[in-house]
Formats: sequence, C-alpha cells, structure tokens
Amino acid sequence: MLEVERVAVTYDKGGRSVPLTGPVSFSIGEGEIFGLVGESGSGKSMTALALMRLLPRHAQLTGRTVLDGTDLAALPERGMRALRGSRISMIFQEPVTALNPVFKLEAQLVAAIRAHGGASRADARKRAVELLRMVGIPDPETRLSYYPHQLSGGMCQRVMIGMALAAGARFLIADEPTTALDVTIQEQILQLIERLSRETGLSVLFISHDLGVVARLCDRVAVMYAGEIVETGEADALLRAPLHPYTKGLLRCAPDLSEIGVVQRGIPGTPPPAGAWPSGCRFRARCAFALPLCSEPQALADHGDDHQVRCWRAAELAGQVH
Amino acid sequence: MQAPLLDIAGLDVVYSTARGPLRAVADVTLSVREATTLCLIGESGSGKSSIARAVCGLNPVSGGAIRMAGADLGAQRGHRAVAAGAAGIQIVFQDPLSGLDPRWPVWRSIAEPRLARFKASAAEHRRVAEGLMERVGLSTAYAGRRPHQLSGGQRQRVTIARALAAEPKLVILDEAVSALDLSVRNEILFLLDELKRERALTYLFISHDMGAVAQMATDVAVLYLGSLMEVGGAQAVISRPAHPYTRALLAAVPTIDGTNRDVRRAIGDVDDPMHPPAGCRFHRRCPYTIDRCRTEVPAQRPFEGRNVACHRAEEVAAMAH
Repeated sequence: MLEVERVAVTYDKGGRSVPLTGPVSFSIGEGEIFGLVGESGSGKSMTALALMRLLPRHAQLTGRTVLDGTDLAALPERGMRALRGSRISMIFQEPVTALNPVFKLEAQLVAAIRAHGGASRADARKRAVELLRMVGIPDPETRLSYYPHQLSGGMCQRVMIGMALAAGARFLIADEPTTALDVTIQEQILQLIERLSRETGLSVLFISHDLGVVARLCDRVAVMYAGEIVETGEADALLRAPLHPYTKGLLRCAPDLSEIGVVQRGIPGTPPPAGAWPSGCRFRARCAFALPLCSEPQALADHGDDHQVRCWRAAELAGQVH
Repeated sequence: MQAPLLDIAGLDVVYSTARGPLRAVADVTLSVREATTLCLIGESGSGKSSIARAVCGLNPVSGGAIRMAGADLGAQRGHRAVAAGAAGIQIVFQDPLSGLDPRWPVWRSIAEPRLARFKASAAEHRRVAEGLMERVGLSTAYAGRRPHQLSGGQRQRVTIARALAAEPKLVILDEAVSALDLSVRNEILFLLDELKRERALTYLFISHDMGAVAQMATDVAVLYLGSLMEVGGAQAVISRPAHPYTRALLAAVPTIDGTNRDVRRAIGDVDDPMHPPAGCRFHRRCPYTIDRCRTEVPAQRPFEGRNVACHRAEEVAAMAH
C-alpha cells in the first residue's frame, strides 16, 4: 500500500547540504500496523513529516513515497493538499493542543468532513456523530457541543483519530499518540487503533520510543538510529531475538515487570548529531562490539525470514547474551 | 525493622480552585525507611506529586503531619520549604530547566544550596561543584556553560549534583527521568542507584513509568484520586498486586514479553477529582464492585504481606487465580 524508497531529508546550510535523516526504505501493507522506533533525534518524526510533505520550508526531500500507485514526493503542493485527509492523515502526541480550543467539536469535525467533497452541513453532522461513535466516544450527540477542554486527554486523542479518518483516509501516521497519556488510557487508544486496523483495513505507521507499546501493537517494526534503519522485521520475532547491538541495548532498558529491584545500565554515550554521521555503522562509537571493519559502509542484510539488520557482526553475535 | 526516616501521617492537601476546594491528597499515611526507595504510582490526579511537594514544603498541608527523623516539619519556625531543606530534603523535578537559573553557569547552580550554609570562597564552592559534576558523570569542562548549552540528560545530571550539594538525607525524584530517552533514562537510574548505596540516601520516587519503578523500588505505594489503595514491598505489590486498581494499572503496561497480555482490560477514565465517588474511590471503574464498595470507605488492612484498602481483596485474589 505504501512504498518508501530511499527517502532522505537534507537542508541547505550556506550552500552545503546537511543531512537530517535517511535514506530510509520500508513498505507497509494494507491493514498493517508498522512501528518506527528510535530515540529523540533518530529521524523517525522527520521521516513521517516527509511522507506527509509537512517539512520545514528549507528542507529538501529526495526519494519516492508511493501510496497506492501515487508518488507523494513528486506531487505539486496542490495535489498533495487534496490527498492529506482523504488518503493519508497524521495524528500527534498532544491531542489537546492539536484541537482548536475556541471551537466546539462539531465545527471542527464538520469542517474536516466538508474539506473534501461536498457533504451538506446536515449530512456532515450525521457523519460526525458516526465518527465519534466509531472511535468510542460515549453519547456522541451531546459531545459534539463540547469544547476540547471539556474532554480528557484520552478523549481528545479519540476525537483526533476520528477527525483524521473523517475524509476517508486509509493510511494513518500516528506520531507518539499515547506518550502524553496514562498507561490505562494508552491501552484504550492502542485497542482503538488495533480495532480500526483489523475491522476497516486501516494501515498505520506508528511512531514510538516505547518498545513495549510497539511489541503490544505492531505487526512489523523498524528501528532507527541516527537517521537510518538499523534493524527491521516482524515485530514479535525481532523483539524476542534482536540482532543489532543498538536494538539489544534499547530492549535491555524496556519495561520489564518480572524483574524487581535490578537497575539496568543504558547505552553509554549519545547519538551523533545530524550532519556528523560517520561512514559505515553510525552506532559504532557506542557499540561494545565495534571492530575496524565497522567503518566500512554496510547495507541492511537478510537474517532469516522477514528480518534484516545493518551490522557486520550480526550473524556472529546472534544468540549471544547482550 | 529500621525506624522510618520520613513519616507521613494522615496527610491532607486541599487546593482552593475556581470550582471549589479540591482534596488532592486524602488522609494518606506512609513511611520511608532509611536507605530505601519508596515509589508512588497512580494515574494523573492521583496525588503523587502533591505528596512530594507537601513533603518538601512547596504545598500547603491542610491536615496531618510530616516528620523527618522524628521531627515534625510543620512545627519548625519559618517557611516550610526552608525547614524541609534544613531537615535534609531535596527534590529533583521532571524539567531540569525549571530548576536552573538560565543566566548562571552550571557550577554556580550546583553550588547554590551550599552558598548560604557553608562559608567558603567562590573558588572553594566551585571546586566542590566540580567534584560533584565528576561524580554524576559530567565533564568539568561544562562547569562554565549555561543550562541551555547542555542536553536533557546532562541537565538532569546537573540538578542531581545540585541536590547532592545540599548533603541531603532524602531526595524526592518527581518524574525525574520521565522526559528522557530510554537509554539516557537508564543511565540516570543507574547513577541514582550508585549514589543511593554510596551515600545511604533515601528516595521518594514518583513516576508514571512502571519500568523505572520496577527497577528502583524497595516499596511501592499505589494512589488513586488522593487515596492510598495499596502499599507494601515492591516484589509483593508489582508481582502479585492485590488491589483491583493496582492490577488494572500494571496490566496496562505494555511489556516486551507480553506476560500480562491475557489480563489486559481497559478501564474507563479517571473520575472527576472535584467530585470523588463515595465509598471506595475506585468503585466506578472497578470490575469487582459490590454495594458495600459504594457506601463504605475500605480501611487499610494487612493482606498477603502488604496493606490494601479493598473490601474484597480475598475474593479478588481467588477469582483472578
């Protein structure tokens, strides 16, 4: 459904092209929930904004993002605007700030529905009630006359999901949609996204720094580090038997309620900033297994069914305790 | 059994709001033994941060007492926050920028708690601050930098060094690692754990991050709408939660192995704290509610090695196994 091919974002700094992220390639099938995982600055949000063509003005986008046969990266802005909302939509971390505080939900939902296609106001209102019901808002007729501040964070995120799908988008980008929510409310939103995907075939690019959330929700996953994918594959298998030392380090830090009172070390050091990426493995300065060989350029290589990793020593280190 | 370093008895914190009084902490009794970590967990509005702020004198205390090593902080003269500082209490917040003066070089922010209390030359204060920077894993090359020139993890190390500068006995960590990336977070947790052992520190650790809580906790207290639901050793509370609220909270935590997946159950939104339900405050969201829960506030009582405030703890344990 979505093919992302060598998508990279750069910006022009006094005639010099500075890379911000990429190149990144992956594909997402119909009804699939694809997790993009990484820490701050790994380039996951920048990649999502590149897909939506919502990059800052001086950023340059290269590569192809083909959604159902249309290359979004090559569309003129007008064409892209017509597809945002009707084919591809995005939701963000702070649902309360994403809604307009001075308009009631009805006005905001009706505007989103009428932005594409000429539904009458009455039909749009009916559709707004359906949307709120679909995303699990109790008593939707009454809630239409609410302002965003009258809803909890979890309810606002439900409304945002409804609004994102109001004009028929079949592809949703969700950028850390549950990070600001309590775990109990997070679980409700994850169940909603899962249900929409299973029941309506919605495809989702789910961006998160939380590996537990990704394990809970996603079918497939890609782990990003310093602007590139270092490991990708089927989520359960990858997270149970990670191959890249970076993924192993992240998993060591992931929530584990079965081990009480044992403090795990993180990954020492910090990622290199954009523009200062070394050749070869970008993680090698922090990697306990780095060899001189690791400064050689390396591609994502197959290791078993639907599992690829960018590490010279992956086969040798497989199965080794991290 | 060690004597408690911090003793909170019948604490009430009431805020006055435009909609009327809000009882954010309702009759909470807790104690923290020396050189242990008590974690407070619960959803937004559970009162965890209100307790933390009351302990370090930043919140008004509407009822009850807070004692540090036996001395009632409320009975001290002068400002409560000053009394708390003098009693050896320091706090580290989620956002390190909020606690650091943007115009000061970081060494000065670190030394600040010492300036009034220890007579020394500026050079001597700087030397102590640089020693603390090294201890928390910051290069002394950063001593002259301003906070905005540091990363989030480095800033949090600065605020930890600053808390240590006051030579505290109790450090309150109020969502101190919540804004950090996973690997940075664990490096800070590792540092905090080292410091605790090395200096016999006592922590009151507040977090919505159950992964961090499981790593750090000696004891865990579970709060809902300002009331204590369950409190006890971390192993008992996290591995074998007794209160239906603790069970729901822990079951919602997504873990890699998904061991808790089969008990996952979505529970509704938090009740309005302005109008907490009568009886057990959790009864509207609880799958085990009976009539008694709607009318009678459950008392804290011992149950399987911890204290729990639930009328039906025995039946819930039997139904769930």
